[in-house]
Amino acid sequence: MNTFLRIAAVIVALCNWYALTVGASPAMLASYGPSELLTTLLVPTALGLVAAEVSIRLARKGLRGGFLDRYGVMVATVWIGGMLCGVALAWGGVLHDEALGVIGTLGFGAVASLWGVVCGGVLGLAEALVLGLPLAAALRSFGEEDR
Amino acid sequence: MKFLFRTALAVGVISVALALASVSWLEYSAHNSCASVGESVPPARTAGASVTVVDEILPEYQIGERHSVFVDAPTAQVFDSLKHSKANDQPIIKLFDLLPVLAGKRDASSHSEAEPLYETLRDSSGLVLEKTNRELVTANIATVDEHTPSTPDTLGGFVAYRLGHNEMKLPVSFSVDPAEGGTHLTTETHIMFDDRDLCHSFAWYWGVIYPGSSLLRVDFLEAVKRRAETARSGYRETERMVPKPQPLED
Repeated sequence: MNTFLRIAAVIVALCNWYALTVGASPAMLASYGPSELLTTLLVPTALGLVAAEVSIRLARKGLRGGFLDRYGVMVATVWIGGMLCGVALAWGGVLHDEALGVIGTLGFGAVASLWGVVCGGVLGLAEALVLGLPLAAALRSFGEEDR
Repeated sequence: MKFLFRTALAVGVISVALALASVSWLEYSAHNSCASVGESVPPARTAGASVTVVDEILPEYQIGERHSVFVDAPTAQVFDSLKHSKANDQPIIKLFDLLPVLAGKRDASSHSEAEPLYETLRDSSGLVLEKTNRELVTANIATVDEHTPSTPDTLGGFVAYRLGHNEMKLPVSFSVDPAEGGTHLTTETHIMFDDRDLCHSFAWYWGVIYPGSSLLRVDFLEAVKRRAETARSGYRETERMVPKPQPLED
């Protein structure tokens, strides 16, 4: 069950990151250098795993509960992942600004984080409410296999 | 569902904390940036750094942004890619383009194929200056009220222009500089005020939109970088494929 949750969180994060950064131009991936490809793969993977781990550690009871509890956990996981990815994307511009010093980067980073939480939160929650249903249903069968 | 409610609560707390931090920072940043309004403060310049047109046109300013990417291509190729890149080449920029459509302020069908950003900037009102294959600057006298100031049409005129009430000087530049192994592609914006209250209000606005604005700039630079590097690798591939002519035997 935990493995399924981790894999699902990573796949959802990768798909969303792909949609936002590459979009309808998969040929763009061919123009990515090795470091860019690595960033495109590693960042959403890491963020998806963080979201999954938060749920695994803090929602043990919910994961083993009824459908509604599992649905709530899956919605929360995708929602958390959405906000984390939103913050990561929002920081992209701040980190590239050469006119900012360290303090400026941290200061505007707070503004970027707020935007990331809000935008990632709204989009993430909308997606989570839909994706939560099949994921909660699939989680049940993995939970039965664990037993 | 308990976990979902606890998550919502945590999100609320984190959002409030970030909002407080952001408000504090924006006020501090606006106050600091605008302290120099009305004073002549020579800009800090890195030793050996070349003076760009945007530095000549507005060396002293209160608000500025500078984003740069390294491109593995010669400067002429990078500038050529800049001339052909469209503003909405990157998906995130297309997403921002959807916002006015979603807000009902623009018809979805009116979103036609965009022209290159270079052409849009060159055709814009205001002063347009270009150093051939090195830098493009568009400079405007912008205003926050309804009157339309007339932007001077020479560099000297723009530098000498005395700002009126609610006015600001706003040049934007795209430049390429040779670097070891490639080119630095840079975009800079400088904003100068003569009115501390206006500077303070605008600094707040700029700070709020800053994450989105800087993301758009960086994404555009990345799009130009990809176009230039793809063109360069295509050229290298062609060089490899075309056989070298064999010398004739005597």
